[in-house]
Amino acid sequence: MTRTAVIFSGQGVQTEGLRAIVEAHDRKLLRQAESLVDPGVFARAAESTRFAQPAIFCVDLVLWRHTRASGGCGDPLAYSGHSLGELPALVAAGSLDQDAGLWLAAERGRLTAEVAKETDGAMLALLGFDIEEAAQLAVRHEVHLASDNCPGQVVLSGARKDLESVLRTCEARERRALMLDVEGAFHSPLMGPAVAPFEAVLAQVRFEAPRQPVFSGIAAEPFSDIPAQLAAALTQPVRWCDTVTALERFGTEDFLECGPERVLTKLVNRILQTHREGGLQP
Amino acid sequence: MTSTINPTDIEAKVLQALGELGGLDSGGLQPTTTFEEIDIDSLDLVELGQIMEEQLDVMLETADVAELKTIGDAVDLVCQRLK
Repeated sequence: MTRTAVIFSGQGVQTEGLRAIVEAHDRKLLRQAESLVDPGVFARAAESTRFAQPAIFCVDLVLWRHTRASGGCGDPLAYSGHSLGELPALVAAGSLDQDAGLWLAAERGRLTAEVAKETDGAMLALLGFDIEEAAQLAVRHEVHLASDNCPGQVVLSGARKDLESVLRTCEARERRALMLDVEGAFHSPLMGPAVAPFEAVLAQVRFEAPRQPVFSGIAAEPFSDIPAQLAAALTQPVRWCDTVTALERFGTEDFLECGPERVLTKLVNRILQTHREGGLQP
Repeated sequence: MTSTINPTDIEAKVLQALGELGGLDSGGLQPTTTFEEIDIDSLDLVELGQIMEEQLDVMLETADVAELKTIGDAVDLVCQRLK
């Protein structure tokens, strides 16, 4: 039997049609999310991370359950998720119950949206840069590494004016960069004000030991302290390349993405191709 | 010496690049295929610009690729820039 790691999408996926996906698979979860967050939580997902996070959480989870129920995957070897995707991963692994997971996604969305409103933060994708070059650029412009998505795709996070300065530098050097359509500087110290309140929320939730390991995206290894690492992830970079290669070393033969698109699948393919060619070091 | 632009070759290169970016079999892609249908997002399109620059020495700015909706749009744009 193929040893499969199940990976869950975070934000950055398309937000159209999310309600229809959840409604088709789990009307109870749909009503729950609409009652907990907002009746328009799915329709308004593009409007704010406050809605996008619980909406994407629901979609990720129902797609996993559907895959499982239809025989698309046996017991996984391990789980992981990109940023927000860690929450459905923990639910899928039995560490967190669904209701608590939905509540955490909603609170994460609410708290980060509040911080985003108070800070003019943004995120910038650098294309064709290696991680060291991206890190140097970040230091020079006082912004932060937010996500090492795959070889040649690094995301920076920080104050919008500083990222615009990075963008101008890239353009002047004919290097490619793209400002992302996000409302805040996720995975950077600018999200710091959300950490303590999110820790307080996490303290109200019970976590069990997962049935299979869930790899933390900031640690690139199985979670050792779930609440602490979930809170820390708000301001720390997602080490997606390291996480995927760690999953491969753990024995993963196949990665199964659960989410509205195949964003992570594309990243995984590029990471593994480079890794196998010797371009990425463990 | 004037180089000849062969749209068929351009299309093949664009299809191959998009296939690699999307992890797809480029043989199944058509000019009318939309990027949304094949999960090609804005970052992928910027990278397509980079690949075209490397392979064909044609500059596709971020603003250029942002408006593309279909594979045919991308091929047309590359052909225009090569003239």
